[in-house]
Amino acid sequence: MLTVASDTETLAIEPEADIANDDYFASQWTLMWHKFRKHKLAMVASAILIMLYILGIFSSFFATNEPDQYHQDYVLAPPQGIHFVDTEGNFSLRPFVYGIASDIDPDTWETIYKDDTTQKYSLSLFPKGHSYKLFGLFNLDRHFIGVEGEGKWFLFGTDEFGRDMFSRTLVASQISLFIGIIGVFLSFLIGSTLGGLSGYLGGKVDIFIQRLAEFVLAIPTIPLWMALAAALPSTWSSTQVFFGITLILSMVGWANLSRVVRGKTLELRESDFVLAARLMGVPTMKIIVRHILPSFASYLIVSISLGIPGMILAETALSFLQIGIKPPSVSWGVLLQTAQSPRALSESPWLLIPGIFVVVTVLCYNFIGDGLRDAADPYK
Amino acid sequence: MEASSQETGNEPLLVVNDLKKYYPVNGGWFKPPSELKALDGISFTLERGETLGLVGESGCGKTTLGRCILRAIEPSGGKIEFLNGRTYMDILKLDTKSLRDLRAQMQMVFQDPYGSLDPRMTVFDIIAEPLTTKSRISGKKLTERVAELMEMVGLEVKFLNRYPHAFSGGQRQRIGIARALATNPELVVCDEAVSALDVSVQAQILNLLKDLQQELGITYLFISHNLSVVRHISDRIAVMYLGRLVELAESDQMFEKPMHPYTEMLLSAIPSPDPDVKRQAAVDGEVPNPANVPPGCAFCDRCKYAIPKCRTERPELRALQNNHLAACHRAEELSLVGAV
Repeated sequence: MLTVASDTETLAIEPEADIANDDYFASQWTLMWHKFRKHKLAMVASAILIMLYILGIFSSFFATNEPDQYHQDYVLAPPQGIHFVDTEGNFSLRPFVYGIASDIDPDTWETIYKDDTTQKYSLSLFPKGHSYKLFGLFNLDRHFIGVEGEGKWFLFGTDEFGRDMFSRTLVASQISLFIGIIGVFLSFLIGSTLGGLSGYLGGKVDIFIQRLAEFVLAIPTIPLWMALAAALPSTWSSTQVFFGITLILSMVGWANLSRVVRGKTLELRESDFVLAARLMGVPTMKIIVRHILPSFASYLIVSISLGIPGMILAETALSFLQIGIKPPSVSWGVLLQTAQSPRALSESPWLLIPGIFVVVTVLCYNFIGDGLRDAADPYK
Repeated sequence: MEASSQETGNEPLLVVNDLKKYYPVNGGWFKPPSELKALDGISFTLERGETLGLVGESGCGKTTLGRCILRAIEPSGGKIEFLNGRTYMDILKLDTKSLRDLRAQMQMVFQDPYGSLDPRMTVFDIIAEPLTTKSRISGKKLTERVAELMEMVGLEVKFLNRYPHAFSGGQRQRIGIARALATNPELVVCDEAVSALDVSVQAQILNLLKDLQQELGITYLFISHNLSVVRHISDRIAVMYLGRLVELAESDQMFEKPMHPYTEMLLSAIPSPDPDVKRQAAVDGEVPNPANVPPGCAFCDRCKYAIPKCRTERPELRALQNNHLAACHRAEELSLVGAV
């Protein structure tokens, strides 16, 4: 009655010709990517974030000065501009910076910095600078951009000890950018395990886990962080403190995620295609792995990407309050500590530049989260 | 029931006996918990190769019955005997493993063509899933079998690698049917299988189901709230009301001469294409709360033929002439109006 076998070979080959740009053959992830690509804001945000992460990971390569080096002669120096045209109107294709001349204001006794137009230091690509170890493995002394020789270049100015803010901001981004990812990863593990159990098992387990989540959500976060952070032993190394803080952040962050996971598990457990699989005799674990988990992977990714900025802000807040990351480790929050006094704000506003990085990062994550949320349901 | 099995000379494929499904209803603080009787003592048989239509209003337990038979829901009591080869097995007594083995014999076609297919799997994966579950076949044989199934339900084989979102409702329903037929089941429960489709597509799917039955000798339990659809496809029709069967008869007989006032009411509600036909009786009244069914006949509050006996004594489903079963005290004396 059915003469199919002979056709299958030819038919199996045919669709592959236009598989690449045919939505009919697109899998969930391809569809999601197609839709995400159309979200311009999210695409720009991802480009900026990728740049920030590259800057963070290779911070010592991009740094123009040694981040911990004190420059006693240049305390609280303002950002130095890059010039193409000098005072005499000569244009040079190669950008340069002027030297810094300091002066004391006779009235206020404050140091005033001015461009010393007699000294010009050209910027060069890959100059030799301070030596550093990349990833603790390779001894290098080349940097991305900078001035060679005697000149100094403080793109973001210096702090109250004369340390280069630009280099410090880059180094700080390592902790600030990754604490979000690691923190969310941890809370993802806790949240999806507890949420999945809660949704799939139901009953008493469900009640217990959900009430626990509600309890965690009901505690005001800052006092809770403060209490937990105060419990960290002061003898811990900076790495231990970093992971301690991440753990603290995820202890609070899992609750929301667990509710999302529980809700989706509950919904999908009752869905027709899960019942269909059950009626086929597919074993329970296989149903969870093959049908339930992939069905809300996209939702998880969205809530994770929206969770990261919260973590970054939380870390910044904790460090700003001096209960998070402690010097000599630097994060954006630690850098912002120096901008706590109104005087610092009015006289050296460049100390707030790390704050701009926080804002940009958080905005980028939110835009990406938005784009992902729109893209996550390609079947609508 | 006995007579019909003698007629065909075969043993029935499925014997359902006194099937019950009670849901506990939690009381409030001052209210004792009670029981909601979704299925209250259902008994019927299914002959091999026949189609039994199951009709009733929303919430009467049609879907629950279909799912209990497949043990998608655990029934509270009763017996479901399924003829597997030459011996009857009580589906309700099977352990997880032997139930899983028997699953290949009983499948289901769902109402919602969108929710019943995993949107993250290709058509090939969906249809192949029941085949690979017990790793019955694989490789080239599997591809051939899936292609054969797709042809069988009228889908082009070149759509094999597409995802469900690329198909219309009718095509998706065909995919669902192909999946249900993959393991060559004896029994297929069609739970409102065409209710979500356009009228023209409904007819196509109904005819497809009929053709497949003739070709493969499948037995259908066809659940629907649409009497015209049920009449088109069924050999026999069972009418359910509040978790009980109230009438069971040959399809034409039921339409011509219903024996239960509830069936009459349902039939009178079928819209007629003739504008001159005036409706004799509209469906009125509300279905009683299933958690608190009155002691007598559950239908008596809505029944225009009700007598005092109906309020106190519950009528049992009993055989009348021509294998016609009805649960009404006055079945013999009433002459009810059918539909043409």
